[in-house]
Amino acid sequence: MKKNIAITVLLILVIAGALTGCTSNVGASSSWPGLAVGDNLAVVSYGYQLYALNIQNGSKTWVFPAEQNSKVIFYAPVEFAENAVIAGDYANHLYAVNTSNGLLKWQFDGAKSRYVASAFYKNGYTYAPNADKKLYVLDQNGILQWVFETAGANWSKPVADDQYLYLASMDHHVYALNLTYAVSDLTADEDGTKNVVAEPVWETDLGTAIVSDPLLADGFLYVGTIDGKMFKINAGTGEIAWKYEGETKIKSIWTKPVILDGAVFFATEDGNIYALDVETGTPVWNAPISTGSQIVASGVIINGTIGFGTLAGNLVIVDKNQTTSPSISREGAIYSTPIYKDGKLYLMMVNGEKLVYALDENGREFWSFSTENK
Amino acid sequence: MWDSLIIKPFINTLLLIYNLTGENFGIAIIVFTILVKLITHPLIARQIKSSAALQDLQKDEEYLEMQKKYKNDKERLAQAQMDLYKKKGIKPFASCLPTLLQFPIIIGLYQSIIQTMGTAPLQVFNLVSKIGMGMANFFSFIPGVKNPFTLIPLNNNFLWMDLSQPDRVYIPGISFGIPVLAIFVVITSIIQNKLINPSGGDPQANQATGMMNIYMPLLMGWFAYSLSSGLALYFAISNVLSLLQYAALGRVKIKDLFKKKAVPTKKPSA
Repeated sequence: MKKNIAITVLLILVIAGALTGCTSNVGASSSWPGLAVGDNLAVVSYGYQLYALNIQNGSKTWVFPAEQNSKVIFYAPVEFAENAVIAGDYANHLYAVNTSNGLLKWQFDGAKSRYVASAFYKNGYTYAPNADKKLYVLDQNGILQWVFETAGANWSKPVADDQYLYLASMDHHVYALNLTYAVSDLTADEDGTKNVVAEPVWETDLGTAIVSDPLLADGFLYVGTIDGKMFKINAGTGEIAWKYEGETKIKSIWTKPVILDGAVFFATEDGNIYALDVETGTPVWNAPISTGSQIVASGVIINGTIGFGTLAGNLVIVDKNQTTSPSISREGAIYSTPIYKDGKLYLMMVNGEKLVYALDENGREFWSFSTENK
Repeated sequence: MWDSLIIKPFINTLLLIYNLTGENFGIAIIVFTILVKLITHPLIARQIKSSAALQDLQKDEEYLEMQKKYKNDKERLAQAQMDLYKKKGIKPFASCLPTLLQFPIIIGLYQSIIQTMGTAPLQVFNLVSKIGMGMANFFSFIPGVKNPFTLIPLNNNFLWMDLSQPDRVYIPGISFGIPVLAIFVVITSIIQNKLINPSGGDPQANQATGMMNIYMPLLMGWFAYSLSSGLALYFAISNVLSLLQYAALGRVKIKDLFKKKAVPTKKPSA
C-alpha cells in the first residue's frame, strides 16, 4: 500500500518537475542586466534593484529601491538625466532616481507593460518606449506630455537630433517624431485626454521587427533587423539609402551599429562580425569575422578598435583591416553592451564570478563588483 | 540534441501553422495539439488496449483465485501472474512503453509553446536562434506563407486572453479575476481521470488511482492558473482530445463519472 502511494506521489512530482523545471513562466522576466556609466557613477540594472557604483573604486554608493521588492525587476540600462537617472522596470513603472542619494524624484505608472529599452533624455524631456506599444514622453517632473502609439512592442532606445526623435519598433517600422508637440496638434486618447500624436513626421517599413538600438550619425540612421538586414535611412526623409542583407541570409541583429574609420560595424546572433562601407553599404571584408559564439551586445570603440562581447565571455577586438587583437576574457557571458569611458572598460558578466569589471585596455583590473559586495 | 530533434522542428512547425492559420497563436496551439495527438494516436491506442486488458484481468476468476492462494507468498504470486500474462497474451509493459515514448513529445510540445510565445528579450533571442534558415527557405516555397522572421513578435491575443499571461476574466463588481481556463482544466482533468481510470477490484490500486484523480487535476489546475494562458489552452485542448480519443476507442463509460470509489476495508486477520 505504502509502495503504491509512494509511486503515485513520485509520479506527480516527476510530472510537476518536468513541466516546471525544464521550462520557465513566460510571464516571468527574462532578460540580461543593463549598465550605464555617467560622470561619477556606474549604474547596474539587475534584478530587484539598481546598484550605483563609484567609478573610481567600484564601491556601492546607493541601491534603489533601498529594500528589495520581488515585484520590481530591472534590466534596461538607466538613462542619465540632470541629477537623476531614469529607470524603467518590468512591473510597468518608470522612475527618476536622484543620483546623489538614490532617492526617488518622481515615478510614472501610466504604462501597461514592461520597460525593455532604456528611456532617452533630452532638453528636460524623457522619451520612454514601452512594450505596451507606446512611447511615453514626460516632462522633468514625470508628468505625461504626449504619447505615440505603434503597432508593436518597443524594445529599442530612441535617438534624436535637434529636429526629430527617432523610434525603431517591433512593428517593423522606424518613426520620426517631433521633439515636442503643442496640445492642439494632439488627438484624444481612450479616456478623452488630448495627448496622442496622430501622425509621425515619417515612417519607414523595414519588413521585420527591430530589437536593436538604431545609430544616428551625420543625418542618417543605421538600423539592424531581426532577420539580419542592415539599413541606412535618411533621417530627414525616411528614405532608405542602402540595405545590406548578405549574399546568403544572415542571422538576426541584436547589436546597435558602430561607425569607425568609414565603416559600419555590427554583429549577428550567430557570432559573425560585419563591416560595411558607410557610403555604399558594401562589405569591407571578403568574409565576416567568426567569433564562434553568439553575440547580443553592441560593439564598443576602444582606441581605434572595436570590441564585441560574446556569450562565451570574450571581448573580441577587431579593426577595419580585419586585424584581431587578443581578446579580453572573464568568466561568464557578455550580454550587456560594454562601455569604454575615460580609459576604463566596463564589462558586465552574466553567470560569472563577478557581475561588473572595470578594466584597462589590456584587460587589467581596476575593480570588480558583484551584487553580494558590501 | 534535444533542441535539434524536438524543439526546433516543433517551433518551426508551430510557426508554419501560425502562418497558415491567419497569424493567431491560439488557433496555432489548437491545431498543433490536434496534429500531435493524431501522430501519437497509434501509441496511445496501444497503451489503452494494454491497460484495458490488464484491467479486465483483475476481474478474471483465475487471477482472483491466485491472489487468494498466494497472498502470503509474494514471489510465487509474481511468478503466477507472469505465467497468466503469458497465457492470456498480455504484455504488462506494453502500456508503459507508449507512455514513456509520449513523454518527451509532451515535454517538447510544452517547451516549444513556451519558447514561441516569448515576450522578453532572452526568450525572443532564443526563439530567433531556433528558426532555421532552411525552414525560412522552405516557407518561401509555400504560396502565401511569409518569412518566419516577419512573424515575430507573434500575435498572442486569442478570445479574451493574452496567451503570454495567466488567464483572468474580470467581471464588473468582482474585485478579482476569474481563471476561467484553469477551472476548465480542473473540470476536464477530473472527468478525464474518472473516465479513463475507473476503479477496479484491487483496493490498493484503487487508492493510488484515487489519489491521482484528486491531485493530478489540482496540479494541472495550478499550472493553468499560474502559467501563461497559452499553456492553459494547451492543457484544456489536450484534455478534451484525450477524452475524444478514449471515447473513439470505446473506453469511456459515462456511468464511471458518477461511480463512487470502493473504499478498501481491512479484513480481520485470521
